[in-house]
Amino acid sequence: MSEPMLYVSNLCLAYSDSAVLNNINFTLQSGDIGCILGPSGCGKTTLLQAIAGFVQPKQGAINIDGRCVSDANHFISADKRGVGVVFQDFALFPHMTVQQNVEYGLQDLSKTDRKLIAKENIALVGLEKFANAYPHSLSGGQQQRVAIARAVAPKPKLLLLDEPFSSLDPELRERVAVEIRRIIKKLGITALLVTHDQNEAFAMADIIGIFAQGACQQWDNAYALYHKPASRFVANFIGESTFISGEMLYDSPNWYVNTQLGRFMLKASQNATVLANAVEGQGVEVLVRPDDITHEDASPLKATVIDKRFRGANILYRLALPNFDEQVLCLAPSHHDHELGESFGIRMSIQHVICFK
Amino acid sequence: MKATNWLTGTSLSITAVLVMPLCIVAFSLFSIDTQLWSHLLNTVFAEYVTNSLILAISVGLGSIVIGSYLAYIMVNYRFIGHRVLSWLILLPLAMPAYIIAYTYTGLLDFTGPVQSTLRQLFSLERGEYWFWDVRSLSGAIIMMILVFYPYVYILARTAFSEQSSSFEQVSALAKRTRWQHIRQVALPLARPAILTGASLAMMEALADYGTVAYFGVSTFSTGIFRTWFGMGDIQGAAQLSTVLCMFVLVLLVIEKRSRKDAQQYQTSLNKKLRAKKTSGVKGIVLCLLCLLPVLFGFVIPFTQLLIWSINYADIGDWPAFFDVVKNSFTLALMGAVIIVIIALIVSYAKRMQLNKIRTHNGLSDKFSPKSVSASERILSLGYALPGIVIAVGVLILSGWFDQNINRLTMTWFDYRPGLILSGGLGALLIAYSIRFVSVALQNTETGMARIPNKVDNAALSLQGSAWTMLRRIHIPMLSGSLISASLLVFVDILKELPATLVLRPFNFNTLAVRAFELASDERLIDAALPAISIVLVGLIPVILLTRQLNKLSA
Repeated sequence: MSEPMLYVSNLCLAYSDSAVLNNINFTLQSGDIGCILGPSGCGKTTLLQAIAGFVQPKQGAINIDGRCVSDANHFISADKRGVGVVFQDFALFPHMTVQQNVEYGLQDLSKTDRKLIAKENIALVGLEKFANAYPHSLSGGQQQRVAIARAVAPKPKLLLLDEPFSSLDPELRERVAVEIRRIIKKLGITALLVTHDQNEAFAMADIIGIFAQGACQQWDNAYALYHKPASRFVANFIGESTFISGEMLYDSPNWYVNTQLGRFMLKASQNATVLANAVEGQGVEVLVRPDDITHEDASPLKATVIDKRFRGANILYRLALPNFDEQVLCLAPSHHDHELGESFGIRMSIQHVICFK
Repeated sequence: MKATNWLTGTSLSITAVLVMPLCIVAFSLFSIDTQLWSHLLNTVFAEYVTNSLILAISVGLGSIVIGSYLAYIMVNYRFIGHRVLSWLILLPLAMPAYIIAYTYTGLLDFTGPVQSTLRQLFSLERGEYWFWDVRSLSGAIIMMILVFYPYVYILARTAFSEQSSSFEQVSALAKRTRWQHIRQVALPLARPAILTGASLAMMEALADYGTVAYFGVSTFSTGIFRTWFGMGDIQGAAQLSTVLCMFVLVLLVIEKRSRKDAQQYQTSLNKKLRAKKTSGVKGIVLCLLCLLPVLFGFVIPFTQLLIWSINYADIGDWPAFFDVVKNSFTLALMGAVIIVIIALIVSYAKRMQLNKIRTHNGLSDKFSPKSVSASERILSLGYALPGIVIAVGVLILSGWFDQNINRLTMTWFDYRPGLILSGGLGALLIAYSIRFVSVALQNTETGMARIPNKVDNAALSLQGSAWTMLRRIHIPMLSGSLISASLLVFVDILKELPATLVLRPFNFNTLAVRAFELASDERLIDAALPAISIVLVGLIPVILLTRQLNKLSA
């Protein structure tokens, strides 16, 4: 099994007295790409700066590759942590060529080695032809690849990327993210990126932390974040979601929830907080994802179309349930085309039932 | 549209009038007097060239050193007195070089306070010790560095504060020390801005007449003056002017190229630098480092002027002084109004012409498209021309004009109007227009650029005439730019020395001329009042500039 490359424990960060992040804990395995995902202003860039060594934490510890780089007694400066950073604005030196930019981080090496390693890294990101070009003559995507080449050239143990795609055109971002993931995986570097865009996070990362309200809400892979959100915030933040009301019911040995879409069993592993002190008859809210509702003409359960959004292969319907007091989203194949106000049969095909109080 | 044609025609005519004196100076090269030139080449020419070059280059280098270190410290550190210093550092801009020169002469000469104190301290007599003579080439260099370093400081400060804070982090990760970062990243990136500032300082050094004349240093500007008044050879003066212009041209090319480079160095996403808070000994050292230039460039000379002025107050000839003030202010006001109107006409004409090109897409009737843009670019170079060169050109032109007018009126009406241009303020105002219209244009152009074209379309669609639009839309929207343009031109005219000295009507004195003449007659105390008046008025634009700069980097 892989070793943890980055281990953050009980970390607190503050900006001149006002706390930004509290009690942060997570682990990033060697070779994995982690992502810190959260709305702007949640302190994620500050966290990255603390891991890099540009910001001193108020409390807690940071370990990189088994070595403590920051705790109450130690603070190892950025240049001795073995991290590489890709900055949000790329921070390429405009007065240096691509080659010189990449060589900048390699001053410990001999001149020939420096040239050689810079060349290798430029080739790795596919910019051999532009080695002697200046940054301003490159496109945004190319500039970013130079920034990555410069950051990985000194062979850091950990690569940190701060909003790496925010300076790129929105259409490019996902494609570039996949490409960058390929490069990082090829190098086998452990990486941690910061973004506010979940599509980027899903395209790049193996494991994602949702940060909001000064805390890490959940540290999990994309599948778990979508299907097993740990909090209502995460459920709302990731993907599209609706909630319907339900009532707790105990039928030994399992807990169930009754909703107007039917009765569903609650798995203990997925609903630990709700089940911890559950009371029969208690009202809860059940998370319903658009893909939990399937279109089925034969179903006796009919719902009415309130709104629809065409998405190519699919149509996302907003449906009113028979009582008209609750709504759900339904992702139906595109050939099931219904007008507003029409009704059609639906079936709840939910695999992970998640309840919140 | 008739108005557009009228505007274009007027702009081009104004440009022609303002460019003509320079052409006349340049044409003097076709009538070289070999006798004069062999004399010049055998005697003083080499001295003019070497002194001017040493002066300009040393002033450039000195300004680079002082201006850059001030800018770097002010941008990257916060320390005790930082806020006050951000106001003080630019103050030397208000101090014309010839005024600081004569103030230091008073401070440092044999009877001055410095030498007197030294003699008393070490009980020395005259001739028993060596003391640096401020009235020398090295003195002129130091005086000019002290008042011209803000040119570099202003531009370097903007350049440093625009550098992304990530750059420092990249350097930290790459194991660079602070000095290595400054040498390898911060300075190279600010280089275009620093060079631009240095070339402006060097242009000022080449254009200076008052300081070098007062110190008795032979440079091009004093040489031009001497060739003309000493030898009575105006062609020779014009030819020397042309040579001087070639030096200036080199600087102009450096300046323009550096400005272009600076644009490429602008980083796309500007995260503001986080300045380091410094306290204790380090903070005090930084504070002193930043205080030194302004101490010598403003505080000390200003205090000396103030003391002299107070001494003068009792014995002063006040009516004569107020006469000079009245002359100066009237002249500066007239100049400011004329020059700002010229700038407004040219900027508006350019705008209307571009509007027209935009609508008709390249259709041109009387004038080639963009002709006004070209003339605007030519006029905006005037700041680079030394006042003495302009004076030579204007004097030749106005002399010729007056002669021919008189000849014409004599044949036709048997009447002599006298010296219309060279006898009155006309020649002077033309000279000021050539030198300072660039200052006004810079303001009207940035003002115009802030008014979107949509505004023009909307205004013209609502009520047709270009004149109404100028009166009711553009002038009100430009009012800020017009006021600041008038103010800058007003102060510049008030400070101007060489052209005023040469072109003023007989017995017409201004503050600058009076300060210079009195100082040249060794009447330092009498000179203080006009000098300090110039400095005080000169403070107004400096304060406005500081506010603008502080807002920019706040």
